[in-house]
Amino acid sequence: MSTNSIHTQADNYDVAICGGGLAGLSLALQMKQTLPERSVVLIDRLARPLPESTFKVGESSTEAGSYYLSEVLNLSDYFKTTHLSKLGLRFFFGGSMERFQDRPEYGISQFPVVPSYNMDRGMLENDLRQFAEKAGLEVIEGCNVQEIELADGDERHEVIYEREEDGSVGRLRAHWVVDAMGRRRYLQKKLGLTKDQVQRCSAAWFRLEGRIDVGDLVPQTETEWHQRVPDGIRYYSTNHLMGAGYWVWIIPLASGNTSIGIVALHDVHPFEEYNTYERAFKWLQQHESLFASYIEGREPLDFRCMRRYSYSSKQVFSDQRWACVGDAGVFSDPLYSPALDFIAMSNSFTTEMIKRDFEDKLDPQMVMNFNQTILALNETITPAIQIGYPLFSHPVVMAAKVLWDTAAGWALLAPQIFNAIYTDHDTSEEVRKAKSGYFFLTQRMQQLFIDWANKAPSRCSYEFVNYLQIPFLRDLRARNLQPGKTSEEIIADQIANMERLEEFAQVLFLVALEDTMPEYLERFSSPVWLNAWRISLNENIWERSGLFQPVSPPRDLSSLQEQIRGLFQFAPC
Amino acid sequence: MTVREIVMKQLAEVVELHSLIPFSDDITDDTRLDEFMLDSIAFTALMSQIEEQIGSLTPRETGGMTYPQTIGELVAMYTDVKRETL
Repeated sequence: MSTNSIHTQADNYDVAICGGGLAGLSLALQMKQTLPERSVVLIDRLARPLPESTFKVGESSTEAGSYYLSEVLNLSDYFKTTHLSKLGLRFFFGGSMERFQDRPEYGISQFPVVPSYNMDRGMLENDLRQFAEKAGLEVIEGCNVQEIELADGDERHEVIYEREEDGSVGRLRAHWVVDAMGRRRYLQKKLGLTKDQVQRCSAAWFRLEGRIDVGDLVPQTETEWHQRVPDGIRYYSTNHLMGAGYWVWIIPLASGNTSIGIVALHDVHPFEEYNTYERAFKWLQQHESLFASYIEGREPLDFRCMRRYSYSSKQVFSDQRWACVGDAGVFSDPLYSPALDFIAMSNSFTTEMIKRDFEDKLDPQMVMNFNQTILALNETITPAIQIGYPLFSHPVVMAAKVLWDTAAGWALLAPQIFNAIYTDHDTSEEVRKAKSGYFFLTQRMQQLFIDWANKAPSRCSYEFVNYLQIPFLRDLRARNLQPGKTSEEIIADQIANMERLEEFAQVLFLVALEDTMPEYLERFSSPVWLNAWRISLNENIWERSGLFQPVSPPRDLSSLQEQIRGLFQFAPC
Repeated sequence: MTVREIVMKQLAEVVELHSLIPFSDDITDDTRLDEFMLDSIAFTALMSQIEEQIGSLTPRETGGMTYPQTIGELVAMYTDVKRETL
């Protein structure tokens, strides 16, 4: 049922969701599927039909985020038939190279079994509104939320909104209120909960009509390049053109259009150099000239930009019956497309809190745990990604970093989303214990990548890293990107995954050493087993820091070492 | 309270709450934070609690080290932040 009339008296609902973007709509659908007896209303500024190519970003999803949309929300058939399957992330490094085929490439060559998608946000949000309405959601369209008055105690919150068409004002009351109004961050600002992160990056993006295919940047006579990813399917990847301090995304959309975005580090690429379409095109001519020539003459369907986009929060959920989901809560760096992962977790937490509240079982400690989970994830992911921006001009270091970040994502985060265990307190606590060593291990690894890049020139190179051809990653993916596991299985997996990451850290250290400090390799003759939490390219602290004092019994690294070393070619010393 | 006292008090509380490793009295500036086996949730909670007391946000400087590795570095980071805000 669509409600276009304005309510002059406050209507009462169990839940009011303010904002009808991807986060708000998917939450509404999840709410109606989980708690069909609860009345849920969604208020949004935009009325249908939404434009198919919207100004919204977040078109690329991870496997975990896709699992949430397709399986948790029961939209599997819809995604398979309506949106484009994604051929993973693909990176082309070496922005300044004249021949595109000479750029080191990191990607895959066939569609994986576990899907992810490139989503047309306009189509998706139009369709989600219909699905949610069909499930019983009440939608108030074309109305701008003016105010949310949070109530004390058991009183209902009040939402005041204005109809854009005639300026009339409506009010409604709800037991729970959810801010899903994106970067407006209404509740965050009202309650003084915004929290800055070091905001090093800005972005601009636009859509071009028609198909923009990176394969067109390489002559067909370059058969080896074309055949290593057969049938021209690179188009279906979320493609990234990487250069010093920037990346450019190229994402195919089911509408037939293509999304293109520039994301860059301020210090290297001032925002003012690409904050209009004309400037962005000039910027592309300067930094990605081949690509700029390819798209020259096409008119953009839209253009948007965002200065210093990432932010965090002090609190996103409250036992006083409010929640902030999607961009209304935190905004992480988009390089690995994590936005939908955050939506999956935030929406599931919100649904669980509301469910428990109506059962009179809402525990403030549980709400705090949910809060800490989202905030910690954001505050870990964004810096870990953004330290990589100065490294984008180092293809080998970035390949190692993306491999590490991918392995960690599949090993530790994805299984939680695939099995929704984060809403189960006891299992979550056990999982936390199982992977408690990860946080400082990945800090060590990120420092290793920085030091590795700083020790240029390197001896190492590659043409194509096909990451699903690496048995280690393939196994990690197969074991962890699957639902239906028991708590015991997940905990056992997490313990095993931490062991794999401990091994992987040592192997990447040995590759970095061989690349930049081969004269020290003899100190690490096989069998090697180190304290992975103390790896460093500073040879002066190895002994003192305890690098040679492992914290776990030795395991054989030779197979993994062979797999990872085999990705690269090493020039003679 | 000095910055050091605030950091140590909050660290002791977070370790007590989130870690199986005891917070002993003989820790020094060189004691490594990874010895407490704190995960990202615990470490984020620690930083939030310190920031509530010191009254300013911690810039996550990313040009070099991503997070402090030792207790001395953690104290120094917040000492620097406090100095900048005075």
